[in-house]
Amino acid sequence: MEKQTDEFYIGWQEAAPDGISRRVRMFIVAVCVIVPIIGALLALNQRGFVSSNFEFGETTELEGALITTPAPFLEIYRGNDVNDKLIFQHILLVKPGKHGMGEEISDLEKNLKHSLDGQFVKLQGSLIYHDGKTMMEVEKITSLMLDTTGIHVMLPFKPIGSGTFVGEIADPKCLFGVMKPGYGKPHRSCGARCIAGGIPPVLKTISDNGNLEYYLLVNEDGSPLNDQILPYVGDQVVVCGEVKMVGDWMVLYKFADKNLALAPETMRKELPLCK
Amino acid sequence: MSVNYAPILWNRQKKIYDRLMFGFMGLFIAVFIGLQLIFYPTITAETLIIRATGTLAFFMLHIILCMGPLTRIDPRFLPLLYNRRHLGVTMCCVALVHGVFNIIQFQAFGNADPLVSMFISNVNYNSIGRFPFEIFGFFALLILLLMAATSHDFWLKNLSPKVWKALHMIVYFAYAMLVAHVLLGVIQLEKSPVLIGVLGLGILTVTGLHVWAAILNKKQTNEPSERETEGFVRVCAVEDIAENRAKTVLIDGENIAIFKYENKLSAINNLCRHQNGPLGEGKIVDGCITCPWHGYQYLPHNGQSPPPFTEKVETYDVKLLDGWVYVNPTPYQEGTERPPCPIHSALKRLTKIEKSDGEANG
Repeated sequence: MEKQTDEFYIGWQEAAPDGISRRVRMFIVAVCVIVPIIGALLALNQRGFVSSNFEFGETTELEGALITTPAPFLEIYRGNDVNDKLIFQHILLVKPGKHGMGEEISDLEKNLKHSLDGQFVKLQGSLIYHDGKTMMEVEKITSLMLDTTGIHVMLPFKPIGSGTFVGEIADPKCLFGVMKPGYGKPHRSCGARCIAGGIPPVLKTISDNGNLEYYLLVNEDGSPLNDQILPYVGDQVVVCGEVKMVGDWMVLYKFADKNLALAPETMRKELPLCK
Repeated sequence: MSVNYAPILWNRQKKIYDRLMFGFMGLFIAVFIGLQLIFYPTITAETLIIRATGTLAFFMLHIILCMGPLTRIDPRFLPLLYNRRHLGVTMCCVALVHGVFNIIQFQAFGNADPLVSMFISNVNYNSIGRFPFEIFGFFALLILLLMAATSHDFWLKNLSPKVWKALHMIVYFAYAMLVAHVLLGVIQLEKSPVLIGVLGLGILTVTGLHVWAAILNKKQTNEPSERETEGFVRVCAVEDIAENRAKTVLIDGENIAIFKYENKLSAINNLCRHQNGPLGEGKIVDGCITCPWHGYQYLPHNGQSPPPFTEKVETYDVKLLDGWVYVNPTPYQEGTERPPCPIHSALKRLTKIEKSDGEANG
């Protein structure tokens, strides 16, 4: 163990003996090489991050009709297309932090003793958007117009079909921009907290050609299924249900008689890298 | 060494150590964050901070854990050990930034207390793959905080070196938990073979160096079984001990260092009262046995630190018979003066002649 040298290092002396200094300098040179290599390997071998956006600190005011079920949306009139058909955009509404908008709407309805479904509102908040989906983190409801004067055509929920879907349960707020990455195992706790706080869960599916699709997940009767889905957040699951489309969102109504289950390994799909 | 407590006893070598440490930390952060921003410009600031601090702290922990065995394998690495506590406390601070940002990012602003949320948000405690990996990181961070908080000599003195050392050995438990934290956490998302390879290399380096050092230590430790009269045990030939150096021996659990100096032999307990450093791997400098770890000193004939210092270790009786060194493993109370055993030059010559005769006959 002891090397053939009588040199001895004492930390409180001014300098280390020459042989010991040389060995330590070699170590320092080695660390100089290893540190950037390890830093680079760890930095460069990640999945990458999607180009989602959260306009944190930027406030936008939007006006439109409030849709309260199956999830809180703001339906905004965006003009007419070339065939003179009305164009609407649907913005999913959430609260700051890990909270959904549903509870505030329910409280308002109780106070007003009036349903807010279809009512015109003005909302202030920060936009979240990714992959054709837009959400708003609502800071406040600036105006509630019970006497509607503007254009208000509630877009019907269009049935698409029913089937079995395999995908990951995530919370849309983080998934569409607040966090990167807003999915997977490291994000599981956060997603569970968001969904427990009332943010409607999303099923993120991947087609064979790698395309991603997102379904807001609710019970067959349109009621929230947040509590029962909590153990599966961040996992890939199998869900049977009927899909309806509202504007640019798809809603999956889970069949009441079909249980949600963890997807078997053979049915799971890896997310494509974001590079 | 110091008589009074001070936050940090700065000296030139500690300053050099800390400058290098912060330099390397800056280099790591610059490379990691720089490359992230170039290749993944859409990353958020929170994720960048969490990943940069997490990887840096874990990397630093690997370096810290490698230092101990490295110095046992080659004592020329001892300068690395001298200021390891600064490295440990700094690593803990970096880990704390990682932990706090994680708790704010993933657990706060919801409908549960952030610390409670960590335990109730993912309840898959019955599954290895789905286990809440945050728990491992949380408890590992608590251990690192406990170690950092008790790293000062005040705690070392008041807890006693034995308790302090035992407390600080749980760093290995923290390391195991951090490996689980990484394996069950970010590795499950990233799945890059390079990341798994880097982690594996780190684990292999830490365990490999420890095994190597343990094997060397085993070879080095002298455990004589031969009992002699009057409680003395034969240890080695007097020539086997270099001048101003020691031979260590483990007898009945007594860890003894026998020093040779100025034609004399003295035996004291091998464990330094500062951090249980191996005094037998030290050297006699200016008439004092000097610990290789932090330079604590003891007088060989009584095991006392020279005034005004107050540290004391046990002493033992040594005798020399026919060129062989004997030690009585029954310790005297810490700081008890024992007359050194003189080495007679005639006896040394006799031993040499006997040995050369033995070799010629053999």
